[in-house]
Parts: sequence; C-alpha cells; structure tokens
Amino acid sequence: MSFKSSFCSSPWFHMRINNAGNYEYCRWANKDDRNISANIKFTTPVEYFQQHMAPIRKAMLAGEAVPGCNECALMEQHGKVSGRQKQLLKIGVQTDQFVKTLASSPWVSEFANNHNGQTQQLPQDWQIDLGNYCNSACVFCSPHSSSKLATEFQQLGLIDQAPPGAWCNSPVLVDQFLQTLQQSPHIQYLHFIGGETLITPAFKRILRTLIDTGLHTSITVGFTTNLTVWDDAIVELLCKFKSVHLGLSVECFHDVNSYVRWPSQLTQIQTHVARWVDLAGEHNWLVQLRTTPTALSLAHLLTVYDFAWQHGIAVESCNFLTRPAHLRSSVLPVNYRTKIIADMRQWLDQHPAVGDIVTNIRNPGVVREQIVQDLASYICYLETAPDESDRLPELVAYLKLLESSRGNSILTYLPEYEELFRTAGY
Amino acid sequence: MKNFLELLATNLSIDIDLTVVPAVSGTVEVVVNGQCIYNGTMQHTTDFHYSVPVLEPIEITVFHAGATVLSLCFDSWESRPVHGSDAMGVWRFTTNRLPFYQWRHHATAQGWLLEPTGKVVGN
Repeated sequence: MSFKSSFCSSPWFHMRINNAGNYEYCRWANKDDRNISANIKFTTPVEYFQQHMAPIRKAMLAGEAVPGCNECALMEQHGKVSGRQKQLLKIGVQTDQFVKTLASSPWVSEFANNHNGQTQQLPQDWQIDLGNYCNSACVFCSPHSSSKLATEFQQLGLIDQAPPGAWCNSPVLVDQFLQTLQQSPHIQYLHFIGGETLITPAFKRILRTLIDTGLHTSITVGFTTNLTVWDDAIVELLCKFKSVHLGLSVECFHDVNSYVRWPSQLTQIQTHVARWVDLAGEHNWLVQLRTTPTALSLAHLLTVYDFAWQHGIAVESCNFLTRPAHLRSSVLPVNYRTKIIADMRQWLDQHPAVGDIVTNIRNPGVVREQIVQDLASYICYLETAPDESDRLPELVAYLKLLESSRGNSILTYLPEYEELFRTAGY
Repeated sequence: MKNFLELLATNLSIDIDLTVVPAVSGTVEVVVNGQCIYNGTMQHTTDFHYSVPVLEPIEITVFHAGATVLSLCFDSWESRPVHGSDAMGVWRFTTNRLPFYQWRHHATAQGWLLEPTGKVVGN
C-alpha cells in the first residue's frame, strides 16, 4: 500500500472513548481488542493521546499499514468517502492532490518534528461513546451498543454476561473527562453516540457542563439518535450551542425499518424525523440521515435517498457493514443484487447531480451531489463485493432465533424474500 | 512516495496556466508574484505558463485596457469564473497570503481546517 493510500492525519487531533471507558485511536478503526486498551479509570485522555498513540502516528509517517484501517480502505475502494479522507480534509489534504496538499498543510511542521510519534498536541475532535443504554435492539447491532440487545442475547444464550458498565455512569469519571475538555483550548468537535443518546443521563449532564463552562460558544456538538424518543430539555440545551450536527438513524422509510430497528415503529420514526428536520431548519443545524445498510434493508434503501433528495439532507454511513458477517449486503445472491442495482441506476438517472467529487460531505451546498455519490458507492459495492450468499443459512438461523423472542417474522416485512429465506432454512 | 520523509525531500511547485483574451488591441501587463511575465500590446488570445513553489502565496495581476481573463488554472484546476475580480482595468487574483492549497480549501468550502496546538489551558 502506498503512503498516499495509507497515511491518515486523524491520530494527531482525534481520539475516542468507548462505552467501557477504554480509549481508541479512531472512531472508524475496526479492532477486536477495543476493551483492553487504556481506560479512563487509570489513564488520563491526554496521556493516552500524547503517548500511547505514538506507535500509530509513527507507523503513519513511515507509510506502514495500521491494523484497524481496513474499513476505510474498503470504503475508498468502492467510492464512498472514508473516515481517512474526512480526517485528511480537516488538515487540508485531498487525496486527488495528496502530495501537494499535504505539503501545504498547517500540520507539516508537526509531522516533520516527529518525536517517535509522541506529540504535545491535544485532541480537537472527539468521539464520545456514552454507553450501551438503549431502548432499541437493531438486528445488526451488538450488546456493546445496546443494553436491550444485551439482555435479549443473554436470554437466548448468545452471551454469558452483559458487557462492562458504561464509564459515564460514574460521576467522578465524567467530571474527570470534562476537566480534560476544559483544558483543551481548541476543541472543534464532540460527537456523541450511545446506546441511545437522548435517554442516557450523562448526555444531558455533559451538555449542561459544556454550557456552564462556556465551551458551547466555540465547539460543534454532534450526536446520533435512534428517533424513538424526544426530549424537550435536551433540545433546549442544544439550542444554546454554536453549531449542532444531527445524525438521524434510519435504514429505510418502509415497514422493514421496524423489523431491522426493532421495536421502533416506522410511523413514530417518521414523526420524529420531521420534527428534527424542522427544528434543524429553524436553528441552521446540519442534519444527516445515518444508515447502516444490510441485506435486509438494501432493497428499500432508495426510500432514504428519496427523502434526502426532497429535503436537501445528506446521507452518511460509517462504513460498509462487516459485522455481523451474515447481515452484510454481499450476502444477497447475485440475482437479488441485480434487481437492486437496476433500481438504483434508474434512480440516479432520474436524479442528476453532476459535480466534483464531494469529500466534505457536510457541505450543505453540495448535498445532492453527495447523495448521488453515496448511492453510487452502493452500486459499486453490490457489483464488486464477493458473493457471500453461503452465509444465508447463518442469517436465517440468526433471524429465527431473534424472532423466537420477539414474536415477529421477517416475511411479514419482506415477503418478496420468502423463497430466498425458505431455501436457506427459514 | 513511501513515507513522510520522502515528501520532505521533494521540491514541489504549482503550475499556473493563464489565458487572456483582448477585447481591443491594447497594452497588457501580466504580473505573477511581483514578476512581470508579459508587458506589451496584445492582439489575440494569449496563453501564459508559470510555476511557483507550493508554499508560496500567489498574487496575479493583469493590467489592461480591455481584456478578459478567460481561464486561470492551478495544477489543471480551473478557478474561473468564480475566482478573480476586475475593476478599473486591473484584474486581480490572490490567495490572501495563504499557500495556494490552504486558500483553495477555504475557497471551495472544504470545511474545517484545523491547526496544530499544543497548549494545555489551566492546570
């Protein structure tokens, strides 16, 4: 892999704290060992960022491949804007003029004065995972991100014990974390995820503290919500911030969304989407539809792009889903993919938006170009991703197990897949 | 390029391509970063090529008595017609004292451009 394809600037200004309070070097990195890294109970965020992340930075400068970066590589391979590209752009680097834009970046001296990867920088861009407290149990989610799914998995015998408790259940740790934020003068962005952010008490508490300490006047706060609840008190707090980026999680505007994002109901989701979009319009907040396309939702994904196109809202997903493997879009057999690809192509023909490649997917001036580009990445993926239809029996077995506790049936929502699922053991 | 050290060892420049179309035959002077690259009577469409070090801010001025800057490309990126302004016989383009690619980041709405900072405020 070339330096141009492997280098990422993210470790110089970004870090993440996960649900268990373990630090991670990247919000996109795919790691199996995410709960054995340094924890906020024993290590300060600054110590982790400046010292523990040194090997990652050193490897980046040496042009070495870093474990965990494979999901970004997969996105770039299929024309979807990757986390790496988004983070490079934040220091002025664009991959189509990689060498010259990197040489022109305000960060060149910082990179050149590399002290074995150690830095005196502080995080300016945080991902803050607030724990797995959630009222939804999406079929593609994991117990680490949903307490409801964790309980269900325990009842079904899929896991022996619940994931570790959330770090932000401890007021002491939250205070410690907030002090770090207050000592970092150039924080640009805080992105919160859950669980469900709106029902996690720490979310409200952190927002209040950011306001009380005056940080709300200089930072952008972003979060993702599953659209099942509304909280006027949180809305009131958000209205005080300089800038808000709002991520609305939805898989499709079709009943299958209620199956995939169980036990949410589509009508409620639609009501809350409309409410957030109106509110965002009033306050000039940036809104995105956040999707996690799977083999179950892909056939109705165009309903998301229809909505996005009509309302001028971008569509973003963190990655092409890799885990659980049996829910990947590539599990769909070729003949099913072909129909979806044809529908997507037809949609693109009917929704022309020609322009330069959009890397800044949060630029409201190029929303339609972004929508078209994002949809095209799924066409590319469906056309080229290896056929993994041998995982269909695994998918069916998983769905049947969940349905045994939920009392629903995928065939109610996707009757057109009955033959496919029957032949795989449904 | 295999690593960051190789980048530091590379001399980089920006290719500038400029096309000027005279509306009437008259004197035109083209100045790039203080260097006069043309001064004379222009009777037909004229192309210019110049290059500057990648970190050098860029200022281009065309003094004219009736001419149009049809095209201004930097490394094949066309900046016209959005960028550059003409007033009173002086056409001007500037990167506002920034290296070109930092300027382009802002000029094309690429979002935040973070800068290094290493200071801890307070204790």
